[in-house]
Amino acid sequence: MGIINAKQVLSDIYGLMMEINLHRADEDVLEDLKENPDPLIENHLLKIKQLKAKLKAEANRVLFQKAIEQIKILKQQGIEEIKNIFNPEEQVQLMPLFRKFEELTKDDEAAILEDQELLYFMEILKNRIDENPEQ
Amino acid sequence: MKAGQYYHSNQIRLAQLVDADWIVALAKCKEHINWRLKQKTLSGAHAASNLGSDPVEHYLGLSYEKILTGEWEWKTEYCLAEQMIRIANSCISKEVEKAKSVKGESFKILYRNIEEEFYDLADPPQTLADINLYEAKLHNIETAISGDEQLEFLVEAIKEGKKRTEIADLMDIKPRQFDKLREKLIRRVRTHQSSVK
Repeated sequence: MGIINAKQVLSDIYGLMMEINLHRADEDVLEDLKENPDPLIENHLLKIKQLKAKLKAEANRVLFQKAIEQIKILKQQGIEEIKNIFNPEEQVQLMPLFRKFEELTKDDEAAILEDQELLYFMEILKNRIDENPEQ
Repeated sequence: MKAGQYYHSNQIRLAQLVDADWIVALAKCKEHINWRLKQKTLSGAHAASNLGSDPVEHYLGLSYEKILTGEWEWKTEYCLAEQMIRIANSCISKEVEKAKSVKGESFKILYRNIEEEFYDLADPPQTLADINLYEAKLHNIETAISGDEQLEFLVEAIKEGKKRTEIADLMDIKPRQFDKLREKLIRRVRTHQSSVK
């Protein structure tokens, strides 16, 4: 065996181990861990859950800020002006949501994120305004 | 920690995962990093000491953080384990590049054929001490597997430059049996190492 080959053979053995590892069946991996629990993996699973929660909270905060800004902009435009973007049929369909939006007070703003219906309505308004810039 | 540009698109797939999916991906990625670091230590400087934490933990953490935050796109064609392995590979390579270059390089996301990437072309050893070290390591493996025909065949096939699918064809074995060989090789080498100590 040549001198350089020893290094290359070692590298290829490690490479083969990596390749076999990627192709392992999920059930075999889980079975192995059942027999030999790995605290490091359990620890990282916990970290994943913590990070997911943290990122979701941050995403909600950003969404909330955007929603508040959007409400301000929409209210400044005037509700009657906004209604004109929609045809009469759409106005009838969206009437309950228009009413809800008009009655929105500052105290309600904190609850906006919980109100999927209202968020959806605001998305419709925003998209329609973007499509009709002259309004 | 800020959400990256792929946060929302990654979330769609992430929302479908259960704990078992994460556990499998973590286990595969952890084992991959172990082998990758061994390989990179052969190929050149790996600045693990600069990381400020255990290198396996460090890269394992990065591999899922970048998917969760959306800094990396979770490509639809890859399973979670493969995407995490690709991220770990990229981060390890970047660290090696930093170690080799004073200035370092800007972060690049490279998508290469992962199966080719397993097999690094090792640089020739630089010193006599290196040469002796690699020969001793290989000798150690060969001694450990001595007497096991399948493992001996496996190492001989590797020496001839054969890859996983070619070896499986030559040995006429299925992927699951291949995995048993992997376990056997690891066990044999570990047992041999502890008997030498």
